[in-house]
Amino acid sequence: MKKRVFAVFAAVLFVGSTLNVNAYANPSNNIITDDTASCFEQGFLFAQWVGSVTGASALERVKITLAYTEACEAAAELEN
Amino acid sequence: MKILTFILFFVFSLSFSQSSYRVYYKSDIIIDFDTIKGPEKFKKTFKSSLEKSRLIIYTLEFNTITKASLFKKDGAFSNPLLSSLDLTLINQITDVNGEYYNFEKKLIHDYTVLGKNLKVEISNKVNWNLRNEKKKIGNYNCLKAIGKIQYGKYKGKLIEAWYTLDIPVKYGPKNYYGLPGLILEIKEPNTIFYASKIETSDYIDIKLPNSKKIITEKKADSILRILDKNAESYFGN
Repeated sequence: MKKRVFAVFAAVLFVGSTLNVNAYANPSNNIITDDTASCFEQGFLFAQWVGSVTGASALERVKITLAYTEACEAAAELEN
Repeated sequence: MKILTFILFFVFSLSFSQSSYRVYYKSDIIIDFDTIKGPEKFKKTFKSSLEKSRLIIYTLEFNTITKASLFKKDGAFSNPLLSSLDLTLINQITDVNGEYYNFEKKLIHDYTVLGKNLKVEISNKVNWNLRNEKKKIGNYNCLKAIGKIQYGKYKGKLIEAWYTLDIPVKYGPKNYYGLPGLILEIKEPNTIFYASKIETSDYIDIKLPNSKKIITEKKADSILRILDKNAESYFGN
């Protein structure tokens, strides 16, 4: 599990460098959502928002990102 | 001689029968979503998950002979309606991770984070302030107590507990311990844990964590800080 999470870190750092993820957030917590974003990107934003509401630690936000991604991908598979 | 042996065996058996209890708890999450700002899609997802918190059952088992207890989510009742996302979000609020042991007046929190298992001895117990207020929970007469949370996400916040002298043991959900009777209801910020069922049982053997692996809260905090720091760089904070 730990290896999987850190592999995800590495992937996101690489992918994130080609995206401007910060464009989706602004300081007033009015995060702009984008349904065309990948499940992972949506999960990332969702985790950031939950973190701003609940005070979730970075570790907890990683868990939320992964759980959201899993749910989103499962839903997408059902639709296809 | 045979009669004596039989009597001794009978008395020995009696002392072990009904020496344990199993208490089932549920939780209610209380959040006013009207006061929370954010995208409607996110609020809807979050709310939908939190509303399923009642599907989770927690158990507190305790043995009055060995004076040990164990609180955890009850795996036997894992619900297919609960997704990994639901559980993760519910946990964000209820802050119940792993198992909580109580033995020899020690509180041990045994949980795993990112594949790393921690067995933490909780050093500070709640200092309870007993109140005169009473209410009935099911068939049990309960009294109120107020305390300050000493461990976990809500450290420093106030909690309200209702305990019953009808079951004069010091146990309760999570790491809440030390009242003159069993805690049947506990109100944390945003969550109420309440007992839904109490069963007596024959001897429950509670297997305690390996004492050699128990660490202090300070040591656990330093491990979590390192893991969190790695995660922070991922979020660019």
